[in-house]
Amino acid sequence: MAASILALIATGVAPILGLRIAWLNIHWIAGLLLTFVVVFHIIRSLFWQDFKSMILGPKDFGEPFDSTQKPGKYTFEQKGMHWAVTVVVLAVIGTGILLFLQIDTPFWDRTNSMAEDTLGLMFLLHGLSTLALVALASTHIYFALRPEKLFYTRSMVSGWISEDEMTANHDTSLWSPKEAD
Amino acid sequence: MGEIVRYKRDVWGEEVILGVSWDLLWVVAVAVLVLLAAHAIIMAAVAKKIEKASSEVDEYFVMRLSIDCFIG
Repeated sequence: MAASILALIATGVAPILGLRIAWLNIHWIAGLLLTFVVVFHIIRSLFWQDFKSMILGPKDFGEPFDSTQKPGKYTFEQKGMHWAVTVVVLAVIGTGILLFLQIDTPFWDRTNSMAEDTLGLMFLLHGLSTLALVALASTHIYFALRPEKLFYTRSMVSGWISEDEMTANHDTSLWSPKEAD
Repeated sequence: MGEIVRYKRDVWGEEVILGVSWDLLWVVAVAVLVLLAAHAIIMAAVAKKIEKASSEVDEYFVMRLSIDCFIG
């Protein structure tokens, strides 16, 4: 997912920055990849993972202002980032698919079927989503590299955090993951 | 900074949306850089303050310990 989003941002922004590359094919292939990965992620999170742990409730909004309130599996910031990315990625995929239908591909020839004002609106929403994605991806990378958050980045790859990291940053009564051997 | 939306005239001469104004890319890039730099500076300052406070507490305990030893 991360690789496809970075590829989409790079290929989408390159022509704007004046880089002359054949970006469109890479862009729609990365877009299709992102679409499949997102569909897979939605199904997996709904049926095989703990979807409830990602729900952002009113209680979560007090967390940043109360140092005694520890989160369950995900912090307020992580949930906020996730839902912001969800909205933006779904917008970029939705508009991207509609724009994809308007170009020549190995699967079909362009039809020019979309009215010009609708096409413009799709470009506008796709562009706004891209700008939001640039901001969110930069913020995500920044926080992933911060020293106090590095254990989360490690856990993204390794799948574990230590007991000390868990008790220091999470409420164990709200989240009790499986213990490693 | 220019406008958020770019417009053009279609074949019938009507004004239609062309897309987002890409000047906003620079606005977003600069805003993100400024915000993240500010966050990094504030976090570094807070960490320094906490470190200083904890070293002062350590010094206090060393002093108390030496006084207690002296008193017996």
